Formats: sequence, C-alpha cells, structure tokens
Amino acid sequence: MNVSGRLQRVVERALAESIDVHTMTTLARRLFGSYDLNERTGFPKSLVIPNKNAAGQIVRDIREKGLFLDFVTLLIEIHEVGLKGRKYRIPYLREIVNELKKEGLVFDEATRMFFEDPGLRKSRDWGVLREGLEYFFTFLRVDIVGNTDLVRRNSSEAVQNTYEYLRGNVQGTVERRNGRIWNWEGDGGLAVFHFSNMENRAALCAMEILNELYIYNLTQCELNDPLSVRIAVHCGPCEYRKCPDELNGETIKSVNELESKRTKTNAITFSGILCRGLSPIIVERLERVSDDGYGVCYSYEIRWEN
Amino acid sequence: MHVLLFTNGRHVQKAFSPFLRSRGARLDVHPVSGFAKVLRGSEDAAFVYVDISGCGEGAIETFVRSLKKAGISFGFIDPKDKVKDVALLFHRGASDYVGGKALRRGVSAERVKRAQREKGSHALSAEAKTPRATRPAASKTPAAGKDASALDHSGRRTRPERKSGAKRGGTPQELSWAAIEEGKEYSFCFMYVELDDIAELRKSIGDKQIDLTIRAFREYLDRLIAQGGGKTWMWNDFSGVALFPFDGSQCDAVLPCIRMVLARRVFSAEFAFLNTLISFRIALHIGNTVYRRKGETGTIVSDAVNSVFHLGRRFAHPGNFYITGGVYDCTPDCLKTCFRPAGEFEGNRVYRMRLPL
Repeated sequence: MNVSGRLQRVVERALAESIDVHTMTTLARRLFGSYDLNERTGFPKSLVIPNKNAAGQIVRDIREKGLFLDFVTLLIEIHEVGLKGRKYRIPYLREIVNELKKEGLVFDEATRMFFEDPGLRKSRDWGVLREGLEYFFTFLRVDIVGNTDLVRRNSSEAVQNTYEYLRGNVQGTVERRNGRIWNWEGDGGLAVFHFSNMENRAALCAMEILNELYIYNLTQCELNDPLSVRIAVHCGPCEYRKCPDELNGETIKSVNELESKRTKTNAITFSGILCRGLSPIIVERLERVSDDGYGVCYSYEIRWEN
Repeated sequence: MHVLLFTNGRHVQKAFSPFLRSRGARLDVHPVSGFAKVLRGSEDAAFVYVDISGCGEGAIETFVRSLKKAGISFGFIDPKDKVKDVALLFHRGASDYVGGKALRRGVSAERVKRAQREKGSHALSAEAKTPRATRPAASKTPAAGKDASALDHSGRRTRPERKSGAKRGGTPQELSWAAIEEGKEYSFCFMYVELDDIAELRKSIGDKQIDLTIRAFREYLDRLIAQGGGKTWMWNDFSGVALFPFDGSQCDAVLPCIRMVLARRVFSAEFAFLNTLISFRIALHIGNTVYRRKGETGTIVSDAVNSVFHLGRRFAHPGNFYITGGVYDCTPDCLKTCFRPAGEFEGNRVYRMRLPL
C-alpha cells in the first residue's frame, strides 16, 4: 500500500506525543519479533532516545517492511482496548483513519481491521495479503449438480443464462460479506473468506445462496428441470497465491472432497472444524452426518413444514 | 439504433456525443420526470438509459419494473457513483451501468450495441421470463369463472379486475411513486409486519439489545421493501405497515415477503443481537387509501388499513406470513404453490405460507 509522506508524519507525531520509548519498542517487537531501537537509531545505550527520534525510526522501519497498516491497527487497539491493562490515548487517530480512507482502506469497527473499501476496489487479496504467506481462510465450494445432463437437455441460451445467474448470485452474496471468488469454472467455483467471523459469514453466504436458488427455481429458471447445486464450507490454513492455478493445499483439497463426495443435492456440508466457530442459531439447524472415515461433518438443507 | 435517454443533466447528454457520431444513431433525450409517459409511446427504442442521480432505491426499482414490463433493454447512468451494489442492478435485469469515470470517457455506439447484446435477465422473450406456471400455452384461453378478463401472451390479465374493491389508479406504468400525490386515493398492497414477543423479551434481555435488534430489523425490512417497489409507511416500536402501489394486476409485495421468511435464520444470525431466532409475522392485503406522507398518517381512515392491522394482530400466529384472497388472486401462479388456505377472517379468504423449518 501507498503510504504518503503526510500520513507517515501524522503517525510519527501521534506516536511521539502519546507513548514513551519503552512502550514504543514493545509495540515494534509485537510486529518485528525482535527490535533493537538503539541499534536502529544509532543512539548508544547510555543515552535516552528522544520520543521524536524513536517514533520517526520505528515508523520508517515499519513502512519499509510493509507493516504500516498492522502498526496503525495496533495503535487503534491500544487506544480502545489497551496494552497490558492500560489504555493509551493516541491523538490524531481520526486523521490517520481519514488519510487511509483516501488510500482506499476503511477501518471496520466490528472486526477491528482495515479492509480495502469495497466501493472502490474488490481485489483478490483485500489489499492486504502477501504472496506465499500462509493464512487461515474459510472456503466455500459450490457446484451445479448434473452439469453434463443440463448442457445436453437445454438450449445453449438457457444454459448460458443459468451460468450467469449462478455466478451473479454467488458473487453478490459472497462480496456482500466481504468474501472473494478465487476461482470460477462456469458451473461452479471457490469463494474464500478471511478476517474475523469468517466462519459465520461463509456459512450465512451458503445458506443465502440456497434460499435465492429456491426463489430462482420458482420464478426465473429457464431450464427443463430446477437448477440444483451442492455447497461445502470448510476452514483451514492455505498459502495465498495470486494465480488461481497455483492454489492448492490440504484445505482446498478437503473442501473439494467435502462438496463432491459428502454433499447431497441442494444441501450444504459444513466441516466439523468449521462448526466450532458457528453461531448457535445456525448450528441448531444442522444435522450431523455420520463419520465415514473422513471426519465428522454437518449438513443443512431447506426443509418445509408438512 | 434508437436510444432513449432520461436525464436532467446536460453533461450526461454530452457524454453521448461519441454515440451520435455513429451512422444510424438516434438519441432522444427526455427529462426523468417524463419517464412513464415517454416510455409508453416508444416501443421502437432499442435501448433506454436512465440517469439515476438523486434517485433512491424505490425510484430505481420503479424504473426497473417499468422497463422490464416494456421489454426494452436498459442501463443506468450514475454520474456520482452513488450505487453501492452495482451487481444488484444487473441481477435485476440491467444490461449496462455507466459510472462517473465511464461517463467522462463518453458512451459510444459500440458500448450500447455490446450492452444490448448482453440483454440482461429480462430481455429474453416474454415467454421465457414469465414465471413458468403462466407460460403462453396455458394462457391463450381466457380464464373461466369470475376472472373472465383475457390473458395476454405473458399470462397477465389485460383488463385488471377489481380486487377487494381496489380502484385502478391508472395504467401500470403510471403507478409509480413518482405519480402518487398526497391527499388522493389509490390502491395499494398493504404489508403489516410485527416482531413477535418483544414485550416479553424486553423484560428478560433488556432494552438495549432489543432496540438494536429492532433497528437492524427495520433497516433490513426497508431494503427488502424498496427492492419490491414499496415504502415503509407507518412504524410504531415493533410493528408497522408498508405500501406497495398496486396496478390492479400483480401484487409485487409477495416475493419480498417470501424472501424475508426464507431468510429469517440468516438475518437472525447476522444482524439480530438476541442470540436466538427472531420471530415476526406478516400480513398482506389489497385495498384503497388516501395517501399521506410518512409521519402524517394519524388522520387516515381506511377500511383496508384497519383490515390489515386486524389480520396481523388478531388472526396471524407468530412467525407466520398470511395473504388475503385478493392478494392470492394477483400472485403469480409459481408463487401460489407456497401458500395454503387458512380459513376466513372478516369476510376475506386467508392463505398462509408454508414455513421453512
């Protein structure tokens, strides 16, 4: 991300005017692991480093390492929540957030994280992920049931419109919950969620896709038979890759298997590990699927009163 | 190619200069206020652009419905990039969206042709887009019995019957919110909605959580109502009434309500602050009322308004969605399958939606 000179100066001032050098160093170590301020500034250990110098050095180093956003997030955290039981009043925070907004980043109060402003950009990495690094994601895999038959038994125009509908429905639902489509093949694809509460966002997205599909089949579907899908949701670690072809790993394999081998038509399968993070309002409606060697998982489908 | 442009902005009109340089291009520019009237007389237009500067969701929804009914490909112009969810416009049938940046680059004939080729979800033949249960083969024979008006090729009645004393306020395209004036009587579909058990929940959970939930529910409700072309009209603590202009043929309120019922669990998990499934009841009824703006409805005297309140408060069970016979008769056949007869109330047939578990 682009850090303007103005933004850097405001953060330096905020740091220098609110925190002592020792605490500044603690914050830097939270991000760098180890950090020797004396070594970085050139001040010998026998001398007290002035606040302004310390702040300037830390912010420059943080900017160089691409950790600027993480540092600002940390400042907001110690301002609102505190550090080791003590809150620090950080000045100019509103100004800092506004400057970041001009760079296309917004602060989400609920998750306490910066996202790229979806009104300006919806990039694959939310503007913050780094290539090759491992992160924890929640994946949603959706696929049309019986696609080969569907193509054979319907006009190409109806099939094309159906694919467009599905893509639009899934993409809209996913992006409304700050998810991203990482891969799409026409008859299905892979969506991904990151940041706080991603398990619930992904699960609710899957449920909404099914709800909208029900309405679509009632009112708009042009196919000879109703459109059917299978959806699977699973979470786990994965290396971030810009190129969809390079996406792989155990988590992605698991969600693909969950969808293709363990999911009924017009149903969602949630992995056991994902369900641990789900709201009770969702969990109470899930049915446990027997463990057939793949691990426990849970199923959801729309069921009607008699 | 004949393009209609509805805009009040000269800069928007100027942006179509590249289009006009193309051979055979014809651009008719009209103010947005003349939308309904001009659209009726413009069957030969290949594409329609509407400038939605300063338009709310309700007005945009009205444009969408009128254009879909007219069967013309359409796009929206948004000079100030106010629309937050552009994909939703395409889901609803638009074939083009011209934001501020694209407008400054200019609209070319090539762009319009491309958009027209995309067609959007509405511009397939009326046959394909009609809800399946009312396809042409079933609709060529006039319906027997009370509803003896002829059905057109899309399955709609060509001469809308009066339903529950409903008065026609004009031709369908004119029954948009833009055409509705205060102090005059119109036909509406009335939607009563009430959050269940709020008084008890206030005692057990506290006012703060309940107020947050009610606020979230109202925002969600307003959004869904606007998508169906309606407006929240009255609201009192945890219940209220919304209005949907009724053109005598189809009730547009049914689908948003079905969507609400289906999405109850999603909403409860996502927005409600109670950690439990929220319960609400809905009642729909068609009738007449003199229209007064929101906040000035204290002196309204209307049988239809009374009826929907009674239906919602005295007949409806918590968590359920009911429609009266008049609404049922104006519901597309494909959606009627969601309802079951539920008896009678105050002289009206009542139907109840089957609930998802």
